[in-house]
Amino acid sequence: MTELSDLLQESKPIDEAESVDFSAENTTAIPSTPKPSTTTVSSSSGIVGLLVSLPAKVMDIVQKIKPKPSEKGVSTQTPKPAPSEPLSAPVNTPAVMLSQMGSSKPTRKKALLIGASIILFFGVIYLGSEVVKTLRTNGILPSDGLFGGGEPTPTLGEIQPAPPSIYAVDEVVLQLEEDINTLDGQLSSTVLKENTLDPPKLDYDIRF
Amino acid sequence: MVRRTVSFIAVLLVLVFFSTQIVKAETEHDLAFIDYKLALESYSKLHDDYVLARTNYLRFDTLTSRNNAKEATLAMLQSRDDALIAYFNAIDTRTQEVDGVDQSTKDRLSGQLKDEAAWYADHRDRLVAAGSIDDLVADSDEARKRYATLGPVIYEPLSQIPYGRVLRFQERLNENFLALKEKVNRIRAEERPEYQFTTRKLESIDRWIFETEDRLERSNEKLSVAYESIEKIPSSAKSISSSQSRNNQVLESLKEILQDQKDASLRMREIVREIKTE
Repeated sequence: MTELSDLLQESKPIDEAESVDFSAENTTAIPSTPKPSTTTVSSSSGIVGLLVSLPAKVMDIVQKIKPKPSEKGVSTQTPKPAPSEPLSAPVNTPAVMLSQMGSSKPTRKKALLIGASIILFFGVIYLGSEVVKTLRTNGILPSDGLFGGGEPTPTLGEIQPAPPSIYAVDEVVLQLEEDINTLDGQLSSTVLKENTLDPPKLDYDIRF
Repeated sequence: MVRRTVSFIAVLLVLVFFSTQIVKAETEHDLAFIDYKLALESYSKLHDDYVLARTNYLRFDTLTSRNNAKEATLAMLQSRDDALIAYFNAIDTRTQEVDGVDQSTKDRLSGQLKDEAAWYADHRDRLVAAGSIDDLVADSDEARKRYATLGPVIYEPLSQIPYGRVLRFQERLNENFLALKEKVNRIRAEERPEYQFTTRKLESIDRWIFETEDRLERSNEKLSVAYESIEKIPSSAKSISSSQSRNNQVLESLKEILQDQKDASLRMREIVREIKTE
């Protein structure tokens, strides 16, 4: 028990030391032999038990500090005993052998799966739209959006129009206003250049 | 089979397009413009035929290819003259329907355009008398030389049309402004207390009137300058390019005038707003 508590106390220096070690390993090839740990153990009590349980403990800590796959530049490999075969050699497991025997069947299955997923996706969207449409027609949902966002909201600080004068209903003034507005619209919309009447592009360079 | 179907659909679409255009046509210019577009379509097709026949003739130089090239060139030259005649007619009808151009100017421009249309109609009729491809080339050169001097005939109407439009805007603005000023003067002379405006209100209206007058005077002056530029088109170089550059100058000055007119209109709207509110 005391050995365990000692180990727990020492877990931090081990953590730091290991992380330094692994980052250093990233720049080198995969070791063929287990790299000796650089852990420094300061405690001298229960040294035999500690030495016995050290490899297992180290592995446990390494698993804890193992970086996530998304973190780039950090190797996820842990030091392990040298393999009897090169790492690049294929492992002849039954699954690998099966996949090597018939590679077309899984591809077809994959394609079917993707096709079925796409059809399912569009089907779900269609069903969803139909449900929303039905709810809208039945008046359960507002017709201008799920949350009624289309409704106009009052704006703050609206400028109050000045009160109308006695001439606001004067016939002459109203007629003048109409004439001016009509002309203003024509001025804004007019295009001066007669683009449709540009000279036609005809071929006059007739040579044989 | 596929090619036939595609060509049938294309022809059908063109017919549907032009039939809708004919239904939409309301003025004489609209009809003339449709004729012009159809003439251009025809020319484009016959020009393609001419290019193909010419290539075959230059490559094989056989009697058949020579005859084909001659026929294709004749058809193309005739359609080219037709396209130009339709173009003159389209410009003429457009000029006639613009309000701001005075009648004597319209008559003069119409006379020029009709003369040119008559010349090209005569040229088209003379083409059938050509005995060889060389004769057709000579006829084509004749039409080319004539076309090169048509700058003023084409671009004077194309300058008069926008000028007339802007001039008409100016006249209407002046009419509205005079009526507005008259109304303001009546309000100013009003003795009934409920119909009177405060001095501050009247000062504000006067400021808008002053600014409107300024914009209208400015646009009037620019209109005179633009008209002088248009008058110089017939007397300047006859080439298409020089007349086109003068036309562009006129259009630029007309754009400035239009902007002044918009400013004047905006200020007149402010005067009305001031009158209608307390």
